[in-house]
Amino acid sequence: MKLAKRYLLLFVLPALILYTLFIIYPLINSLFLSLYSWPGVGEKTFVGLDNFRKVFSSGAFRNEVFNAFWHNVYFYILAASIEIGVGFFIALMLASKIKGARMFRNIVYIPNMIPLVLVGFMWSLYLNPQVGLVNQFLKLIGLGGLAQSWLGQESTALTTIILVNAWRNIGFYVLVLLAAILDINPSLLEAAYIDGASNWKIIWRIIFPLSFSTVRTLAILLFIWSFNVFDMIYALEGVQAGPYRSTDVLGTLFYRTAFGGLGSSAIDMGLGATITVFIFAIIMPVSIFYVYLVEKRQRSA
Amino acid sequence: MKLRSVLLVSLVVLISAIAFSGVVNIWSWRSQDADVWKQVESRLRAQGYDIKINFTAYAPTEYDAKVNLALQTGTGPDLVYSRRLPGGRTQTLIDNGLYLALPDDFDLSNFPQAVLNSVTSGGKVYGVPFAVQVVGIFYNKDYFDQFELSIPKTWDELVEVADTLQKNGITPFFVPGKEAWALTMQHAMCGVSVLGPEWIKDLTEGKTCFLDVKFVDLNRKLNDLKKYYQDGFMGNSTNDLNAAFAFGQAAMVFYGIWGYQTWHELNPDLRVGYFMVPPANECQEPYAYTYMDGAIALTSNVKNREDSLKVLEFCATPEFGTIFSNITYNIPAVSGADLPDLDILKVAVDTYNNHASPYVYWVGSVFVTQKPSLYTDVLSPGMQAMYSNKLTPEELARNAQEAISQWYEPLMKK
Amino acid sequence: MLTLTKYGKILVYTLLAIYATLVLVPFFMMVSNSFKSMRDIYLKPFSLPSELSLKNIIDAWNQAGIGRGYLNSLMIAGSAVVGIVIIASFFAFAISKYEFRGRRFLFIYSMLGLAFPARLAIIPIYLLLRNVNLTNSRLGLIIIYIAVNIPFSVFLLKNFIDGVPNELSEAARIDGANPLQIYRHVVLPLIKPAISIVSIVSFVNVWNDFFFPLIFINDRSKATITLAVSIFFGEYANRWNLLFTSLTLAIAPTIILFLIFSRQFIAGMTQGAIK
Repeated sequence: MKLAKRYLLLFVLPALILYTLFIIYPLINSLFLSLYSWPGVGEKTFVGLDNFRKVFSSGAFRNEVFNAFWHNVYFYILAASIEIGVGFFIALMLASKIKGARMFRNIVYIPNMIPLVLVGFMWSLYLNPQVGLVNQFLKLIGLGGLAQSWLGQESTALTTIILVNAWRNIGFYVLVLLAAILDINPSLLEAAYIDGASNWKIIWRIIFPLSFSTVRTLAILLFIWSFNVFDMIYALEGVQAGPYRSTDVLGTLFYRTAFGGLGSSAIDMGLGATITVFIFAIIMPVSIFYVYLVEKRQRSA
Repeated sequence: MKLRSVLLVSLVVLISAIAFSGVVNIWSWRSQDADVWKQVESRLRAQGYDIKINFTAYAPTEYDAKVNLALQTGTGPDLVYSRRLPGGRTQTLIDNGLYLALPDDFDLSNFPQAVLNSVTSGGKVYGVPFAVQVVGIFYNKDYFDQFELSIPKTWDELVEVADTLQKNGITPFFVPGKEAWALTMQHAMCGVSVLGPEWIKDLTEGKTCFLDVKFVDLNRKLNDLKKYYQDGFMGNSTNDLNAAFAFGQAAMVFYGIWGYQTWHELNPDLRVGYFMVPPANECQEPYAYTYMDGAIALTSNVKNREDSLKVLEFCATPEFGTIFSNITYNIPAVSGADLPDLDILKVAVDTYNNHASPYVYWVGSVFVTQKPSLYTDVLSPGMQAMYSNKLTPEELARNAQEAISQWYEPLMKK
Repeated sequence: MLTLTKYGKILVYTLLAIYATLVLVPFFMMVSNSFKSMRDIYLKPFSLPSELSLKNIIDAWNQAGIGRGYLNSLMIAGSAVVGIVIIASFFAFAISKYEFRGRRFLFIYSMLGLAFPARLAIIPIYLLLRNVNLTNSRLGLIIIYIAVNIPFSVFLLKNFIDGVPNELSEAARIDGANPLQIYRHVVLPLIKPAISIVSIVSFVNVWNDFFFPLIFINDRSKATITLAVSIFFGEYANRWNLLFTSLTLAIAPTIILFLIFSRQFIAGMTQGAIK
């Protein structure tokens, strides 16, 4: 059908303007800002590629950026293994013929309804070294030797945060994977049972290959999200991302650089924008691939 | 025409007067001061000023970023608690015109010059100081009585006290290792006694340096004290310290007098004592680290200048000091206030007046005025690293020397 | 559906029970600690509350501004959802049912936001709002949230509108209906499920967001629920009983709502993320 111009404007413009002004233009504008040094007030100073030099060539700031970057990578790898790997396993259990599957399904999803930052605050209390539930419980069952300062030592802090994050998010992955598994044509499974295939074989040969595209999509989304982690670190370690920057990720580093925080008096929005451009560059290829997949599925539908 | 514009202007003035009639917004990092402002408000009302004070407290770790952002966007309050000078953070705000200087005729006669130095920049005064702080070791009197311990006179005696407590199953010290600033403060308060003011003076003049054996030895003393801290101390915050100390889960803390209000609130039965960190040997005197805590400053966002100045004028009177110290048990910066009848506060005031170290290397010192700063760039990360065995006492000393000699003339290699 | 042996069933039940415990115990302890005194939480962590007094609840409610936080969050999320549904469905309707130059480009263009989190653009967004004086305002947040949720909403709604047979809209056009009427009387009734999914997902997204309020809101009176609790945690860091209470107040209604409407929620959240 054809559409008269005024109607076209009425339908398309509101979304187009808001979206362009508040999403697309700011994304592009970050690129320009990254060429300046600017404390947010007063004059901008044009510094060319100096900010990028700070990020990539040697120096304290470069170390800080790459320290954070590797933490993001670690975050992704561990979160993906737990949330998708363990999530798949739980989804399989929920997809088998058991009573109460629906009740379990709801329980699994509850944490996902709670804001990330509140989950973080809750666990910050439970993880307190002396009086937190976690260590108290370990002492109660006689494993007091395992009790430690989970968030207070470099060796465990980031992993602990990732586990808390998984505790909150895994329900989402479970349910998406469950939907994918239940989508599989039951006659396929029945035929396999008649052939005498074991459950493991069915999982490995039928269920896993047929839900692979869902796993892939989840892995892509998780990648994008992993490079934007902020709330959980903020709630559990603050923007200083202690101990000793061992939980620092690009999100917290960006916040400190662009908006300041205790212990970093220098605010530099230009340098902050450089960090966002860096994150942008990391997720760009994956993101484009994702949009391509979405588009492709659209056209095939 | 003229008449019309006069009318217009007066109308505008009227409307803005109605809009902001008597509200003064104050932001702070000290949530414990909320009641102070309620009392100030009622006192001002009694004097016939129709002023409403809105007080908001933010977490100390976010406060500075919040103030910065808000003032830049013109959404900030009339008055803010500002950090002391000299210091990069407050100086930046002043340089960007976000803090306003007090008017030249503002009455500051109730403040000693030493206190005013911490709010002066370029000959102008920015803000009215509210408190001075005394830091040192606070101890649980019940435990000291129970095990017949007396106040240690030397560092070695302090270690003996800790040892006795530990043998009896009491955690000697509770240290908030998660908060780097608190570890730096611990270093600094031990420094004024163990190194002594003379040594710090020599350091400032370049007659000695951070590589000196005394400085290394202080690092080592602190590092060796670790075994008397609570388990998992690197994971604890000052909030944990407050609760643990209040409920008797540790006998001593390296802290400041501002903690007393919280301890008392959490556990009114707690009996707290104070002593200065003991020196290295009997020949030395102990000293306390004291400093001006902060000031209440006028911001460039001020919407209600007249009433805000009224509030500030009140903050510069002994009457304010009386209200302030009776609620918070802190030592007010203003002279002539009536302090509450409280032993711990009397000890703190006496310490402030008679045993303050004249030379220091943490807040209020020259070593924090430029980057890399001894506070944020050396001792804060360094103490955490040393306590988690990533840095030796010698390396910490070397880091300090390298960082400060980059920009501090007297310490540069000749 | 997988069929399990008897032992397989026992194993699955055991594992699921352990997992359910891991999920439920923290929430249970949170509620239980809300009724305890500071001293009891500290010295008797596993004890149940000795009395069910409402003192903590009243204190936390008043001091944390939970009530105001709820109102603000409801107002912001509610307005944003209304805005998103109208704007995104208009846009999706146009690019799904009408031919015009650039429609495919418009679709891909609107998908870009799916892949690039708006957080990355926070500095320019911040400057933009600063210039029009919308920082520290709820309206500013509403506008941002509408913009942020456009990509996914357009995507989902377009999918559904594609499924509305063209014959229907053609017939309506021949009967003399204008595009707005076609939208209202033909398309809208058929895409109600999609509208509800978009509403649920964007509402939950806005409700759960913390980053934007953290950057933009200074006044406690305008704080959303997440920000209100966060400020409270900074301010009352020593009062564990009140902290647990504030969490309970902020979280419990969500869980209750979820349990009542779990089916719609789950359908919405999972479909919204992946189609």
